[in-house]
Amino acid sequence: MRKVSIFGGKTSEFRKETEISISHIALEPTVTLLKETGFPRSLIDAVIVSSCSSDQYLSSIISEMLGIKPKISHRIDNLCNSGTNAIISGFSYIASGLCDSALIIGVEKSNTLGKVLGSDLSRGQFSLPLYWGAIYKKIHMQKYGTREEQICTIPVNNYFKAKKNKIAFNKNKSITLEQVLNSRILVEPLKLLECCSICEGSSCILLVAEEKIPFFKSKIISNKKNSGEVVPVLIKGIGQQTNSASFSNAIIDIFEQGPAKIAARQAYKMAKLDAKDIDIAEIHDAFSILEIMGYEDLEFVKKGEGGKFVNQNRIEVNTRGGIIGCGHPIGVTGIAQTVEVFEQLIGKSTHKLQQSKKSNSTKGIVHNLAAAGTSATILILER
Amino acid sequence: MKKKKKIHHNYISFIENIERGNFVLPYCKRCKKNIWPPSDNCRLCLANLSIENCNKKIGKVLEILVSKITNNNNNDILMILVDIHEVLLLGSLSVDHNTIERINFKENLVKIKNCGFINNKIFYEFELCK
Repeated sequence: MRKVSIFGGKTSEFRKETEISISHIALEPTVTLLKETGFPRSLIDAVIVSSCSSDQYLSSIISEMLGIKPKISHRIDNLCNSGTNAIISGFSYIASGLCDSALIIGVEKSNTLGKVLGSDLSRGQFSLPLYWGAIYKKIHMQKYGTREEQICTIPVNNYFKAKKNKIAFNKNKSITLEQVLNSRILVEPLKLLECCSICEGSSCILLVAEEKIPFFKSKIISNKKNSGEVVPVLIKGIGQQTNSASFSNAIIDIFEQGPAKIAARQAYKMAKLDAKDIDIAEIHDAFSILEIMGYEDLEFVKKGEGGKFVNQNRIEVNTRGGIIGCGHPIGVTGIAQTVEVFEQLIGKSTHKLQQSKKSNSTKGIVHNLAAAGTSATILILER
Repeated sequence: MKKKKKIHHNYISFIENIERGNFVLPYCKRCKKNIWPPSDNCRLCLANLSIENCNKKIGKVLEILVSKITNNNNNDILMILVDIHEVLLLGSLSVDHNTIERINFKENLVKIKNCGFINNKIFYEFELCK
C-alpha cells in the first residue's frame, strides 16, 4: 500500500446562508489552494466532493468549473462525517495505485437536507439532533457523575479559540461559563450555547502519493503566492466504523463499544501509535458532551473521566474553535478538521496553540462523527 | 382496466398501520423478538419479518427529559426513551400538565396511547400503565 501525504488544504469562511450557489461556494477555498500550491490541475486524478446537498452531479460540475478532467469524479454523502469519508476514499485511490493525486472538496449550504435524518422513525417527533444530544448529556452525567460546569466549559473554551479565527461562524464572540449555564434550556439538560450552528461553507484538501512528491514539486507552477515548499504530512492511521443508522440501535452501545471507540483503535493500530503520542486533536463537538465523549473514545482518559480532562494541558484540542465555535457546514466539517490539524503540524495555522511546547507537534488526530454517533471516522496524521 | 397489483412490503405496512393509529412493530419468528428498523428482513438473521400489533405491549421508561421546545400550547413536553421488547423509541409521555411534578418516571411502565403522523412526521404518544 502506497503512503499518502497531504499536499495542501484550505478552508473558506463559514457564514450564514447566502444566495451563492453551492458549486460557486466550493470554488472559494479550492481556487485559492490551487493558486497557492501551484499544483497543476492537469495532474489531479480524482475529484471527490463531500456534501449532503440534493444537487446532482456536483463533483463533475465543480471539476468543470475548475478546469479539471479527473479520471475519478464522484460525491460522498455520509451526513456529518461525509468529509472524512471522502478523504478515506481519496486515500484509498492513491494507496492502491489507481490515482497519484486526489482533490477532496467539502461544500454545504445552510438549508442542507443533512440537518435531520428524517428517515429515522425511531426518533418519532423528536427528529432534531439536539434531542439525542440532550439524552447523551443526561446519561453521561448520571452514569459517570460528570458535572454541568465541566460540560459547559467546552463551549467557553471553543468560543474563545474561535474568536480570533477569521473564518469561524462565531468569530469575534466570546462567552462566559455563567452565560452558558444560564443560556436557554432547549431540552433538559442541554442548553442553547452547547449546540453548534448549521451554516454554509467549504473546505478542500489535496492528497498525493508520497513517493510522487518530488515529481509534483518539479511541476509546480511558480507564482508569487507559493514558495514551492512542501512539508509532507502523512495520513498514517484510518479507522472507520458504522454500527447502525437509527437512534434506536445507536443508544445501545454508544457508551460502551461505540463506533468512535472501535474506529480509534483501528486508527491507532494502523498508525502503530497510541493516545499518548497525540499532540493535536480535532474532536467532533456538535454538542458539548460529544467532546467529552471524544476524549474517552480516543483513549486520552478512561471511560467516564472525560469531564476531568476538560481543562487539561497535555493535548491541543479544537484549536480552530471546534464545531461549536466554527459552525457546522455538514459535509465540510471533517475536511476542515483535517486541514486544521495539517496546518498545525506544518506550523502554518493562524490559530494559536495554548502551550508553547506544542510548536513541534508531529502527530494529530481527527475525530468525526455522524448521526448520533452511529458512524465514526478517525484519521491520524503525522509530520 | 387491469388492476394494479398491491405490493406487500413490511415498511409500507408499518407506515399504513401507524397512520391508522395502530402501533405495530416488526417481529422475527426465528430470533423470537421485535426487530428495528421496519423491513422485510430481520437485520440479525435475514429471515422474513412479520408485522405485530403492539397496541397492548408494555414498555419500560429508560430515560425522561423535559423538552422546552414546545407545541402550540406552550407546555413542556415530556420526552421518553422507551424500551418496548428491546426496540427503543423516542416518544412523548402524556401526563396532566396541571399536576406535573419533577417525578422520576424512569423504570415506570408505559403503553402506547396514540400514534400517527402530524405534518408528515411520525409520533408516538405513551401513557403510564395504571
